[in-house]
Amino acid sequence: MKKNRFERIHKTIEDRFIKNLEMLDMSSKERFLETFASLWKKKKSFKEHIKTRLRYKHVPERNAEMFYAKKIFEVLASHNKVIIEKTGKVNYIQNEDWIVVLTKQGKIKTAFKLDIPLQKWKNSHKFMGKDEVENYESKQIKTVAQRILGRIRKF
Amino acid sequence: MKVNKLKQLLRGYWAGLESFDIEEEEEANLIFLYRQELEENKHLLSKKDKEKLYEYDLKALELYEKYKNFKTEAVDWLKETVKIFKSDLSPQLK
Repeated sequence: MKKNRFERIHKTIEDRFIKNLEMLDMSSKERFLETFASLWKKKKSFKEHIKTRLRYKHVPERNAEMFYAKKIFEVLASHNKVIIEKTGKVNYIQNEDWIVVLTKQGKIKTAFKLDIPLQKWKNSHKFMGKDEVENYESKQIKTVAQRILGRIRKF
Repeated sequence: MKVNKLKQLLRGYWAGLESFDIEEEEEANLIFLYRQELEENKHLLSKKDKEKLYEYDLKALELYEKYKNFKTEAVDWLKETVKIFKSDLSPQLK
């Protein structure tokens, strides 16, 4: 029963995210980056998170915005683990070190590189009393993200 | 743990604090994790890096004092971060 509830949360978020992807304009790099910002919880979040990732040195200074956007689709296209939170967030994890978080509304909350072992990150969630379940990959998101990645690779 | 990894953790702790936002719980969770990892390996830090860590801890404390009345998960993470080092700071900061 509990698993079904989490699966419903997961499906709703993914459906909303895929619907939100219709906002993307991939006719040019500039249009893509402009519309990519609309996929975030707040439009200004994308720029704020770029600044943060630059401070961590997790994105290069040159072409940082495009690198980060591509990285997000790369994580979604090749993730091997999904963690669904009861509060309505989904975490897509790639190779235990990059995580993309989607909100209940199917928007991007954040995406970050984890320099800490994944198990410690998960333990900290338990410590904070988060109710969550772990799933394997999501084929739906992988297919959609791979398609977008293929179209933006040239930018 | 290698020196480079420790420097990366120290930079990460600083980066997290510089970017702190009361609505960004995932980022605040990272601040806690970096600080926890630094605590476990503190004995391996150079004197200069220990001084940096102390300086960043003061920044974390300052942020917590500024935002402690906001009931958000990000502030909860900041509180847990401060708990890691608070006993090491001078009594007047407790």
